[in-house]
Amino acid sequence: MDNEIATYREREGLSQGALATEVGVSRQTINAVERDRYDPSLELAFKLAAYFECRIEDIFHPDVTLE
Amino acid sequence: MSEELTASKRVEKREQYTRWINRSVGVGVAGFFVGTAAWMVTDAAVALFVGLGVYWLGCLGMALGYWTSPVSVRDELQARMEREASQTTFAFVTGVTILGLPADVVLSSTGVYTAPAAARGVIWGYLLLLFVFGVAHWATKRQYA
Repeated sequence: MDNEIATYREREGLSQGALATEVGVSRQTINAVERDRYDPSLELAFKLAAYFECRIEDIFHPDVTLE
Repeated sequence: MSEELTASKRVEKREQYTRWINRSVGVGVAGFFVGTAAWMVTDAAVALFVGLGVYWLGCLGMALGYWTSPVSVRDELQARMEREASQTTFAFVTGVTILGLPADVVLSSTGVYTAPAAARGVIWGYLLLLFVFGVAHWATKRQYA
């Protein structure tokens, strides 16, 4: 899923490891999310949005269409 | 999920318990090798039993680490990777069993070919594993019903 995690993180001046610690996951998880290799759980998505004080839709751009 | 722990505390606890688990496994395996080496040198069977005891203690330490950890020892990406690897393993085991078991029965019954005991043990062991999976799946399904 396309996302803006790296942009938001760099804007805050955070490393991947620091952001990972803030939301309670490993650095590898943040790296995989940023590189679009892994779609985070709903819980992690909410935590990231809460940390950056924005809506989930602001940082994640799912390619979802209803038939 | 423990709501009492902050995110950074969860990471800290995960690392702490992972270290405990890794050390337990390391001490257990090392103890087994040291016991075996001591037995080879001294020929004293007690060394083997001590090595086995240390190994089992290491296994117990590992299990205690998993059971007592206040957070999931694996984070969600690690859990996802384990799930995918498990699915691949399950597909392999299922494939070998589906293809191999009937072939083993037919070939050995007709006397055309009798597979080595080790190969037959693997195939029938895989069948047992699939049975265990079926029971585990049934039990898990009940939790979501």
